[in-house]
Amino acid sequence: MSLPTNLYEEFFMYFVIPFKVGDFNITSSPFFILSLFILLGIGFVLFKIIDHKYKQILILKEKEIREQTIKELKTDHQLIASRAVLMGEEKERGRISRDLHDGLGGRLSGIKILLSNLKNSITEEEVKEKLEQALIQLNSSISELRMIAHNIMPESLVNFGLKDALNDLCDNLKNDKKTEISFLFYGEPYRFDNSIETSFFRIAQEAVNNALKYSGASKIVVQLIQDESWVNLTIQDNGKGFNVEEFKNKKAGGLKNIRARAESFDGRFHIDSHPGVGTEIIVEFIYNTEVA
Amino acid sequence: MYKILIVDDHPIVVEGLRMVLTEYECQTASSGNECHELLCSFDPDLILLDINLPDISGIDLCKTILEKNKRIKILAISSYNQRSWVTRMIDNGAKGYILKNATDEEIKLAIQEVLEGKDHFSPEIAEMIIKKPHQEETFLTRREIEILRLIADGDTNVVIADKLCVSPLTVDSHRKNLIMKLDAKNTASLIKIALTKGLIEMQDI
Repeated sequence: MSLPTNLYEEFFMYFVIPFKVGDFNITSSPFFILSLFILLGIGFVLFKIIDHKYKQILILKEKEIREQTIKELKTDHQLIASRAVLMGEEKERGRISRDLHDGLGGRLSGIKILLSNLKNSITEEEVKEKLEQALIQLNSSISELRMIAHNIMPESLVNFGLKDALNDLCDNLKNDKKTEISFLFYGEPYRFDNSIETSFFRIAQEAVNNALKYSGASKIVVQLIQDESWVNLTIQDNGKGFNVEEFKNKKAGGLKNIRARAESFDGRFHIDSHPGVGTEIIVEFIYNTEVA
Repeated sequence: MYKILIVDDHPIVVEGLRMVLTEYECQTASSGNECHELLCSFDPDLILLDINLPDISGIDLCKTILEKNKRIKILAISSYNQRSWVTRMIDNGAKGYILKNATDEEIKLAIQEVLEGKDHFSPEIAEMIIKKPHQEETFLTRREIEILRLIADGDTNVVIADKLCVSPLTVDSHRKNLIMKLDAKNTASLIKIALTKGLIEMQDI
């Protein structure tokens, strides 16, 4: 075949002639080449799609692994914090045990002695006097017992929830005339997990007692805000404050307890303190569970 | 002679009370159910009601008793001296509240006054109720003031969260609480109200 001399002939040769003839030569047909290209194109696109999907699955898997690692780290962290809380509680138990033994135990023994001595009393006067004494001691013992029981587990917390328990706590601590302790509540008093409610209560107890003991504040405010998914506890005082950095490194103490408790239930804890201004402790928790 | 129903599940307490209340006709019940039974058959004028009962809380029982018979006077007697119990008993209709460590004289006086239609509270309880703190109108914690200032500056939740090292969720919750506390309609009026109440100053913004 001679070379095409013009465009028309070119067209003829490459697009028309090959079809015209009987021996249809597929391999050189432009349609074949075209379809080849189309197939290649489709193949390429398919390859891209599969590759993309594969990459997506990889990314998902990596994300899963990352999340799993974070979860494990969090759990570890919580375990450490929980252990710290437990240690604190063991210490507390020791203290209660000593209080019971020395205080209450001693008083009850004293009463027993008074009463057994009654047998030896001759005059009615003596008997009356000893009975009076015994009654007074008994009254004090009952009060002390109640106080200890209350410290172990405040019943208003279990029965009515955090709002009432904190209200009662501030009421009870108000006896110190030098410091004004107020309780403020905003929102709705939803109930949530009992152990976390208890943690919040203990945190408030610890924080207020710390403020009373060390801050020299004239005003302490305990504020509780709740809505259906969030609880925020703020304890603020106008005392002399302290150096937060210094306390961060301490191994034990009230602040460490508070932090450990907050971390044990995955709550957020924040402390701010400036000399001359005062201290502010904030603990928050987001609960997704419904109203109890 | 007035009829008194003692509702308490501690036999020693019940006996002690019986000995004090010799000038009245007394019956006793040791559970909410027994109490309801005796309500009909005994028809007491006054009920000495303990809060800790085996089958029902005295607080709830108080309500159901008064629903059945409005004329009955209820005098709560309990070892709980906290506001949370006292307010609930009063809310449910109790006319008086005394503590279990009360003396004979006090118990008799309490019953007398309540039968006459007056209120009676142990001195300890009365002191606590009177001191009921008037919730301070608008108190903002230091953190809330901080957030308020940043909001007034125009910072978004995310920016504020960043500045304070907390989560944006927390900031949003604080924002909602501020709106609730200051009784504002939205964030814009929040700033106006805060300025008006002197909670933040113009130079802070």
